[in-house]
Order: sequence, then C-alpha cells, then structure tokens
Amino acid sequence: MKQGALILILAFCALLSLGIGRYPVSPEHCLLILLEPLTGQHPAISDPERQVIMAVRVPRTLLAMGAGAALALCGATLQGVFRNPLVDPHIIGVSSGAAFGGTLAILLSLPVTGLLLSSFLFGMLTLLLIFMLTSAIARRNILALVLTGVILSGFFSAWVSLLQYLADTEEKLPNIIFWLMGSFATADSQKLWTLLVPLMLAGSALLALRWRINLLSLGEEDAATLGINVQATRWWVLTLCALIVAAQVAVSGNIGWVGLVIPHIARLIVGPDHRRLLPASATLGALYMTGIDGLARTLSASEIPLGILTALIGAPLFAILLRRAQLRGWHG
Amino acid sequence: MLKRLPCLLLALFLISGQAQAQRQVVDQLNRRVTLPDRIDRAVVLQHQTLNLLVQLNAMPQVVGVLSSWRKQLGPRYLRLAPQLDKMPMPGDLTSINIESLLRLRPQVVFVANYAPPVMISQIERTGIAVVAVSLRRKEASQAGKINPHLKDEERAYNLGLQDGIRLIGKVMGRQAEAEKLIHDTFEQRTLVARRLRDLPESARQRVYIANPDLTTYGAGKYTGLMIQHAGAINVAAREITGYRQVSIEDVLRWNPQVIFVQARYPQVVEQILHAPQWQSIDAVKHKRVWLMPEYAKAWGYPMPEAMALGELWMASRLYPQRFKDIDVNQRVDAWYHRYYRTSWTPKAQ
Repeated sequence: MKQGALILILAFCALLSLGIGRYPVSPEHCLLILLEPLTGQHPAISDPERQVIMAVRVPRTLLAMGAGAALALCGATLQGVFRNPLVDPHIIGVSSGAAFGGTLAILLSLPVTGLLLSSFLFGMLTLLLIFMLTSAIARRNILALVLTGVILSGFFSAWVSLLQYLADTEEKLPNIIFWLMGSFATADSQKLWTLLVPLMLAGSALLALRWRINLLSLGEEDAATLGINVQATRWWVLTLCALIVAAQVAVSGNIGWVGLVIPHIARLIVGPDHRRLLPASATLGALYMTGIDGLARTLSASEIPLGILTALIGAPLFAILLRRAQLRGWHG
Repeated sequence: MLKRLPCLLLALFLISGQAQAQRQVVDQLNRRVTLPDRIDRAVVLQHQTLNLLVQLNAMPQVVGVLSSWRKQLGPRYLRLAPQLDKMPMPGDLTSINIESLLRLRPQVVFVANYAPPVMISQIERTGIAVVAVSLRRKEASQAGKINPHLKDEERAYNLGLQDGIRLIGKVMGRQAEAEKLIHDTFEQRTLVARRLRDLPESARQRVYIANPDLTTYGAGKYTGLMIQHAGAINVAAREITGYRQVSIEDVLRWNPQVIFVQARYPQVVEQILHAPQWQSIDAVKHKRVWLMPEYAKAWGYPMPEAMALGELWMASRLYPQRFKDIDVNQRVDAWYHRYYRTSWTPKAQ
C-alpha cells in the first residue's frame, strides 16, 4: 500500500522534473513531446524543445532515478547484512576502487567507453581483493569484512589522491575533481544502459534475496539455526551490491550520503522488515536523487556537482533522523 | 544513426531554408567542423580563447562565457572587457549546463582541448558546432594528451599560438585582426632576441618563479620558455617538471639571483622579503624579488601579450643596460590601445 503510494509520488516527481530546467519549455509542450511517439510530430513544437526534453531531460531523469535507487537499495541491504545502521555503500571499498578506475581513465585521456569500463572493472577488482583479504585474515568474522572494506577504501583513496597530485593542474585536475563530485550533466543512452543493466539484474536478485537478508539481519547464529548458509548468502549479497555500486560510480561519480540516509527514512515509513524496506528504499532513493538533480541543474546557470548537494542536504537530514530515532529508540 | 537524427534534421532544415551558407574549418584537435558563414552568437568556455577574442575585438559576437573567467583572468580583467559583467555563464572549462547553453542559441562553442570528450559530443548532438582550441601544434595522435612529449616545445607553442589565433579569427570573421596580432606578437619577440644575441652563457641570470606555498614551475609549459626568451635560466627546470611544490632547501640550494612573482600573488613578495628562511638567498639579499605586471602571464599557454610584452619586460628588468633606449611602458600602452581599446595604467597594479 505504502509502496504503491511511493511509486505514484515518484512517477509524478519524474514528470515534474522533465518540466523544469534552464531552457524554457511550457508544461503543455512538455506533455505533447512526451506523447509524440504515439501521436506523431506536433507542429507547434520547435526542434530545440524536442531535443531538450528527449535528448537531455529524459535520459538525465532516468539516470538520476537509477543512481538514487542503486545507492539506497545497496545501503539498506548492507545495513541489514552488517547489522549496523552506520553502513553505507562506500563501506565495502568498491566505490573508491571504481573512483580510482575513473580517475585513471581521465588521466590517460581515455574515451567515454574507456572511462565507464575502467571504473567498473576497478570496482570489481576491489571486490576480488576483499574476497582474498578476508579469506587471508579471518574467514568468518563480519567485523573483518568491514575492516577490509575500510582498508581497501583508504588504499584506493590514496591512489586517487596520488593521481590528482600527478595530474596537470590546468587541464586534467579540474576534470578529475568535477567527475569525482558526481554529475548527471552528460547523461546519454550509453550511460543509461551501463547503469540500468547491472541495476536491473543485480537489483532483482537482491529483491529475491530479501527474505534471507531479513534472517541475516537477525544475527549469524539465528540465521544458521533457520537453515541459511550464512557465508554464501553474505558473499552473494556483497557481490550484487558491488556490481550495482561500481556501475553507479562509473556513470555518475562518487555520490555520498544517499545510501546512508535514505534507508533510515524508508525504515521510518515502512518499518525494519527488509521485504518492504528494500523496495521502499529504492523508490525513495530514486525520488531523492530526482529532487537533488533538479536542484543541480536549475540553481545556477552552470552545473552544481551532486556530491556537494547530497552532503549539504543529507548531513543535516541525518542529524534530524538521529534525533527522532533517539526519541523513539533504535529498532534496527 | 538514430543519435545523429536531430543533427541531420537540423542540417536538412538549414539547407532547405538556405538561410546561411556553410563552411568548414579544422580545429586544434584536428576535427573537421562545419560552421555557418557568419557567426553572430558564440559561447567561449576557455579563458585563453576569451582573452584572444577580446584582443581581436570580437566580443560583440560573444553571448556566453565560462563561469570561472574571473578566477582565471583576474577580477581586473573586467576593465579590458566590460561586457563580461553581465554575460551569461552556461558552463566552465570541463562542464556545461546544456539547457543554459541551448537557451543562448549559439552558433558555435569554443572549448579547451582538454574538455571531456563526452561534453563535446553532448554539445554537438544538439547541432551546435564545437571548436576546440589547444594553442599547441603537434601530431594528431597527441592532440588531447596531458603532458605531450613535445619534441620541439618552442615550435609547438609558436606555431600553436599562430594556428589558434588564425582559427579563432577565421571562425569569427576577424582574419585581418588575427594576422595583425600575430605579426605584432612575433615582431616584439625578434627585438628581444636581437638584443640578447651576444649574451654569454655565464652572464645569464638564475631565476626562480615563486607562487604561494612554495609552488613553482619546472620544465615544460610556456613559463620556462618565457624565462628562456628573456635570457635567463629557470633554476627549477633542471630538476622538476610542470607545476610542483618544492622545499625551501631546494630553493636555498638553487640560490636564484632573481625571484619573479606573478601579478595575482602580490602577498608572496612581502612573505619572501620578511621570512627568515629566505634571507640568505641571493635575490632576497639584493632585494631582487619582483612582482610581474598583469600582461606577463606566466601561464601554461602563451598569450600574445605575454610573448610580446611580458618577455620584453622581463628581459629589460634583468638586463637594463641592453634595453636603455626602450620605454617598455610606452610600448605596453600602445599595445593596450591597439588591442584592448583602453590605456595601460601601471599605477592600478
């Protein structure tokens, strides 16, 4: 019921976001353009208007929704699996790995496809390193898993800093910084598919696993008693999240706070049951990111990087949520 | 194919309307660009190109500029191009708000050679021509690279600047102004070279460029060439490349005879003259820590005024006896009148 309402609100906001931007297109024209695939070209519509809606705003809004859903879904899942409300998708280190891949691609002047591929592959390489390190350190310890993520995250962040230091200050550095802060400004069909394919596949797999995630969030012993292979499930969940996060960083850079804050809001609305929490988080994440992107492209004539906005809005929001959670007691 | 459809439609529209003839230019990334015959609405997303457009008197045709122009060219630049005050800013060196851009209805967008490829293709998909400016000439495969291994740096910058000015002039229909600017730039340079021709290697001054926080310019980039043309030796160039932070021990070891500070960091001069760790350096002992004037732009890219006036200023400060008969300020003033349509006021510095 609540989920249905959330999806309706999301659809409404997505339509709304197609209507806003720096280029003036009236709401009627916007609707007419969206209906054109059914009705054929309308004579009152100018070519630039059609371009702004179909080639700029539609891919951009879809990409924002996808990235928001990706981050919030992974955040909610990982918070459950790690049984820790402070976890966000960056904790597993994959986003730092992917950020390194993207930075390297910019430094080497690779074309767009190379950048997407490089950041995705380095994200996956980080996952592989997590596997190897945890099996070398402590196979069954969940804390070791978190610490491995912290180690790899720090390691790749240092590499990103090194590349920034080496980069040409006039030419490459501004490029790297802008990419790292995240933007949907250059959304196109290639980026859209790079995100949507892993998100759809891994996302539906995660949703299919949500009953097991519920059991994992009860604690290792309880889950094992109920007949779950804890280790295997945990690794499956981790791999799926890594796939999604790597794809997200590849298309839109590093975006903080969404994966941390949105699951908490979703928990306030639908409660801690992951069967409802995961779809609600994904929908809310998409909604939140659509709003953030709306601000990013309309507040000033130039683009404002997303990472700045998500943190500026997300951090105070999280403080308010913490205050409410303290009043009501934590139900994680 | 489908992606190109909007461009094709637009092209068809333009051809059928026959409103404007088309022409082609090759930009500095070696891309072939089709342009309308006359440009009345251009957007500039690179500060070097913006400065060149001001000198070519093409600002009436500019409808949008990069958002960081104030940071890149300095707030005083407004004096040279008062139009900038109210100019829309649809993007920057590496990013663009495509809707703000479309709203300005530009016919051409000038971008830096290092603008992300995805940004260039995004603009082109909307049917607007993109001209990339690098101000360097090199082989096609190297055109977008970061630190190109320029076989002959000097040649690459000289020819690159000429190519760049000619390209911008051609796009904006200011060919005559472009040729005049190129001629004047290299004429002044010849003068400096003639005066310094018999300068023995041992008499060359050892120079250090001081930026804030002990950063300086090493080998590569135009800054090194500027010092070289002024008959001096960049002490940092032998050991470091590009823009880097060094330690005070390096500077003490190099012991430069002259320290230059760019016009945008006037506080650095005071810092150096008063900091105890700098006092044993030759340049500080003899109070030869000099603030460079705004036209001596020690940037990664050469600008005409830096080549023509900056190198002359530097040479005349370093070797005053060789330039006794030349009034640098008067030449600067003449240049400002000719290319910026205003006077050079050293007092404002």
